[in-house]
Amino acid sequence: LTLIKNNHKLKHILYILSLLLIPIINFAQQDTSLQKVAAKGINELPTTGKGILYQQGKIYLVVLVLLTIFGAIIFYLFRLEKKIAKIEKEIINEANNNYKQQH
Amino acid sequence: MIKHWWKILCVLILGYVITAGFIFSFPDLPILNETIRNVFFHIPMWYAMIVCFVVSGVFSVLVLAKDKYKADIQASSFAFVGIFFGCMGMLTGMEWATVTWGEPWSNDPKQVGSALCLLSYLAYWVLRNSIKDEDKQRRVSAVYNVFALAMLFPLLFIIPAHSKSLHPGTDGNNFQALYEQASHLRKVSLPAMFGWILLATWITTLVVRTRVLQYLSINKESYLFDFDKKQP
Repeated sequence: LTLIKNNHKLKHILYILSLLLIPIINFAQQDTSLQKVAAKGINELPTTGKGILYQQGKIYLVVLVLLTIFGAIIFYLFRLEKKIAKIEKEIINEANNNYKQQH
Repeated sequence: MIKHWWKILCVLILGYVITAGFIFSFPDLPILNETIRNVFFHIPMWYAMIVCFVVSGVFSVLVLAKDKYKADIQASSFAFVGIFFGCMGMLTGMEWATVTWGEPWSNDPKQVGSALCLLSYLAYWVLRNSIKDEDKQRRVSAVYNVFALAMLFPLLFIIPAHSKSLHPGTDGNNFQALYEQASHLRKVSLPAMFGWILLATWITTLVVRTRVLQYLSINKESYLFDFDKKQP
């Protein structure tokens, strides 16, 4: 173990190898779904490719729309803030220089 | 980024309010039904307005006490954003009332009170813009603003609390609705209140900054180095 801790290359290789385990887990899940098909018949299973947005009532879609609008407004506010900060820098510097020249 | 933490907090809170406000299920009350979700959007408008007007009044007192230029800009900007949120509250309230109470305007004491309050602040705006002399404008509008603030709480809370109203919490206890609402509702309605107040404050800071810049670019020679301090 100390060998693994000290050897960075070996560490990376182990990480990559651990990624290979993911398909195996997937296989296990597919097995259970196949069992379900055998039990219920293929037509009774919920169809894939339809996520949370397609659920009954479809309220999640409205939430998505609202969040999109809200996100755009917030994006605009942050941009406005940046612009104002930039102009502030210019004008306040100018005002300060004017003041120094006068006095 | 650290300076902007409260803006990020505002975005997070409002994002939560929009999401949770539509996804959670709430008690199905008669007449109200699903429109109970308006509690997260219509009512915070009024809270934002009240906070804006109170802060505006405080700055107006500062204008009178210390004669600061910037305080005048802050006071009038807060009043302006307050008027905006008040108009939004009025419009959303009328939309809600059309469906639940049957008509947009039913001369409810709270409706009339908030309309009078909004009118008094619109009068502030008109008065302010009608005076051309800057010194006079600053002082007269500050004095008026303090009086308008004095009328805010009687019109919104005290008078409606002594009369029969369609609004909840008008038989003596103004915040009864907040105490007695379902705990599930309060989990969203309280954050909503703070989120919208923060948004109003954020917009006001932007308005203040642009108006300060406007002032600085017009009066270039007028020693704005110590803009924040008392003018000579």
